[in-house]
Amino acid sequence: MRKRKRVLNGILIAIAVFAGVAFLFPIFWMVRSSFMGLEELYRTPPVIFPQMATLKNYTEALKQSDLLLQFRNSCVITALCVAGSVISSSLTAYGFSRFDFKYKKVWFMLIISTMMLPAAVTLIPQYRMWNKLHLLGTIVPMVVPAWFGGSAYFTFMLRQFFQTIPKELDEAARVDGAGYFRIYLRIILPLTKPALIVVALFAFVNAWNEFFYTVIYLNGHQKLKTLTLGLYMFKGVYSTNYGAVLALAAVISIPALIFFLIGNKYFVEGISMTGIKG
Amino acid sequence: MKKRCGSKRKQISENRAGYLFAAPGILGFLIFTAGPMLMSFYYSFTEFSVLSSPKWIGVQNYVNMLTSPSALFVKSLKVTLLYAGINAVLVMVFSVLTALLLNRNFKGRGILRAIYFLPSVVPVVATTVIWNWILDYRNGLINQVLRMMGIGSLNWLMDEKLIFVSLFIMSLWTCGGSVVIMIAALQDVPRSLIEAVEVDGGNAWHRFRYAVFPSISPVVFFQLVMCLVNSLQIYAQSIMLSDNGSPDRMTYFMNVMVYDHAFKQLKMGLASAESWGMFLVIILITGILFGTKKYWVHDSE
Repeated sequence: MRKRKRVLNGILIAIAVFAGVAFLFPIFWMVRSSFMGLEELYRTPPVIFPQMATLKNYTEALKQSDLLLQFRNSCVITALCVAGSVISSSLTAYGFSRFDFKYKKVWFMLIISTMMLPAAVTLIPQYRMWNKLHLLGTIVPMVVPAWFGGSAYFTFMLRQFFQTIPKELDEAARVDGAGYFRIYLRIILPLTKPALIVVALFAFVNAWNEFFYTVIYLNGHQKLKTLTLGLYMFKGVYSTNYGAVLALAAVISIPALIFFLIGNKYFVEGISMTGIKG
Repeated sequence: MKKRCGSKRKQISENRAGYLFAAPGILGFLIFTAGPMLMSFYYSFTEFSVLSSPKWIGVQNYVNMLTSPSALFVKSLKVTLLYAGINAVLVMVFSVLTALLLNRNFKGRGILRAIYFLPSVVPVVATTVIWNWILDYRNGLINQVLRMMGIGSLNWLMDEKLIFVSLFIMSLWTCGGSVVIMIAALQDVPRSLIEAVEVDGGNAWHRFRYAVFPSISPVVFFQLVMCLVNSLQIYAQSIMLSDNGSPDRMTYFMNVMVYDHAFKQLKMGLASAESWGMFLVIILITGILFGTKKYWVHDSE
């Protein structure tokens, strides 16, 4: 019986490892193919590792698309979205976790329920609003919403987390003469660093990978293209050499992967620690 | 007397402070959600392109989208719901099973968890480019292997049924976030509950059925709803793989259609009506989901 259990355990672990390898494989395949010339890329049967590795795809991808400009745009938009999300969602969460104000529950329910609202419903009026404000053709529509609470998910998560901090700490600080904002800055924020990092990481991934709004607000503005939009355009016009498309895909994935290496620990810990689980 | 006055003042100041701090969220809700929702509801009874002002046409948009064969609303609704419904269930089953595997005690499970999580941070446009290559009809790795095995090529991206299989593969490949959340939930399952089942002579299935699942069910429910709502908004995969949602409009999902009608055909009134139609169906479905909650979700608090 014991032996059978150990064999079963071994099999299950083997499955997990095998599936893990399968999960990594597509990334390997992208990198592998991006270093291949046309002839090798389309060879049957396929070779596993490039035998005539070349950087041609990368130089081609760099030459053909406005990569530096797109990189800068992606960085600016992402930085503004991350800053806006962290600041505004933590302020909002502080308000909801620490004060008893009128209709608080109603407001909170309304804000939380926006998590379930499809973007398509608000899209057209928002577009008209930006148009009336003469802000189409700028990055404003991409970043301003982040400064107004960002995703309701963030507010929800941070509120859960803030509530675990004993209110006695606030009261002690109040006795010492600290104002509400000082308490937020000096007590709440330092104590909830892990949760704030998780919000920042989520906001980073969302903004860096954003595509739907990007197509709507930035498509057609040559100067405002981001990396995701660039890849979309590049794939459209460059289908003859898929190696170059894969090279560009690899390039735009790098920041996300670096972020992953830095953030993985916080992510896993943060998710376990915060109320994100529901 | 004095004290009551003081507490009242405190209440006023707390009220004000609360609103002040919550202002970004509340204003954001009013400006970017509530206002636009009301406007788009009004727009759905009108006709206009980007710049013109809306002209009232009553329920004409709704009639058109339900009856006119060229409007494609019904088709889009069908494929969107089909994709999102199956995908949400698949993602839940997959992430619970994977989390159960990764929750065992073995060396290197931290690395494995990281590996499962990794693809979920890759931009979805890049994900689609990768799978487009692997699933390519002529030169894709999968078809090359299938041909070597004598099965022959499958049209992963242009067959009406297989395209969904391909989309599910991409979706499962990027659901690592959900796996991580499930692992976290599994770690909160009380030991005492599992032991109680074991004392009663329960096997692995019993442990899952009577101890593990009940305690993670609130998480599963929340994740299911969120996954459903996110899947309903699938967009990038469709327009990265094809124009106009081919094959046979099977990937003409809600967001693809709304974008198409609003920004390419400039029928903003019709697009508003379509988004509201879709939204009402979503409300109905999530309502039903919440209705089933009492049968399989255990209250956490």
